[in-house]
Amino acid sequence: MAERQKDSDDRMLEALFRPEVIPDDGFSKRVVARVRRRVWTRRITLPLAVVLGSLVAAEPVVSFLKAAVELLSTVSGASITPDWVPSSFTLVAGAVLFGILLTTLNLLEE
Amino acid sequence: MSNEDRELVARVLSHRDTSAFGELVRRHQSQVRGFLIRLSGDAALADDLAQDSFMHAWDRLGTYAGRGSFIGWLLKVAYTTFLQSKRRSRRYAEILEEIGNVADVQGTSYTRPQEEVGDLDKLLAVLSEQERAVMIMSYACGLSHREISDATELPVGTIKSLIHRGKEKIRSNFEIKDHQHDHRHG
Repeated sequence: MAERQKDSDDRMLEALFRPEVIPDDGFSKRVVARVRRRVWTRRITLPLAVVLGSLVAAEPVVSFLKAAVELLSTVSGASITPDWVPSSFTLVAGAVLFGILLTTLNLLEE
Repeated sequence: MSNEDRELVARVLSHRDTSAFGELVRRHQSQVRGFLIRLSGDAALADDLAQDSFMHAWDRLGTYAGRGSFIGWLLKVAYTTFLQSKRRSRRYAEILEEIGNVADVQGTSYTRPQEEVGDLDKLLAVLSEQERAVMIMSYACGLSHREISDATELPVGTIKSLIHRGKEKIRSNFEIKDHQHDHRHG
């Protein structure tokens, strides 16, 4: 408004539009509570998804790896044993550790 | 932007400090809520939109470049939130209409009950939505034309003409009222 000359209409409109002060009444607390919920949700979403995903995928992944190793040994004629394929328990434990690591890094970052 | 706002924004950006953000909300909630109440004509809806606006502000604070006032940037976020909500309501009304539920369509419009309508609401009612937003930003929030232009993403020239047109509409509305009043008592 300072960039132009105010006429009587401007003054009348400014008086009409004069902002009323709206009391906070816990509004800012509600917003901050929502923000904190969102921060926590984001913090745990990825680690939780990694753990849940590994729980679901561990068994099929292990089976697939074993089948792939057997196929490779049949095709190549070499004797490759699937001993090095981790068990589904190891995969899930690894995912849990990875999830904990992600959460810790998130916490340290913030 | 005031030094205090600048400091609070820096604290939020560097430490994701929710207390600093709470202080920013406390400082500006009245203007944001007032803007949305006048724009929507519905206090409860305006409160919901204000909460959503501050949530968007938390998410997008990194995009605030420090150019112009912080309240100008917040009102931009609030105006965008209002327009998005309006689009969703319109789509909802269209769907209801498509399935033949005409009665519920009435409930989705931004109108205030007749008994709550004040002088300012009557004036605002003669303006288009865009004129209303620009007039409120200019006269109630005290934003400059440049800041309104940033907030609405309209050229400064368009802002000036929207304000001019809004003033003309209000003036002619007043004249009509005065004329009717004089005629009745003449």
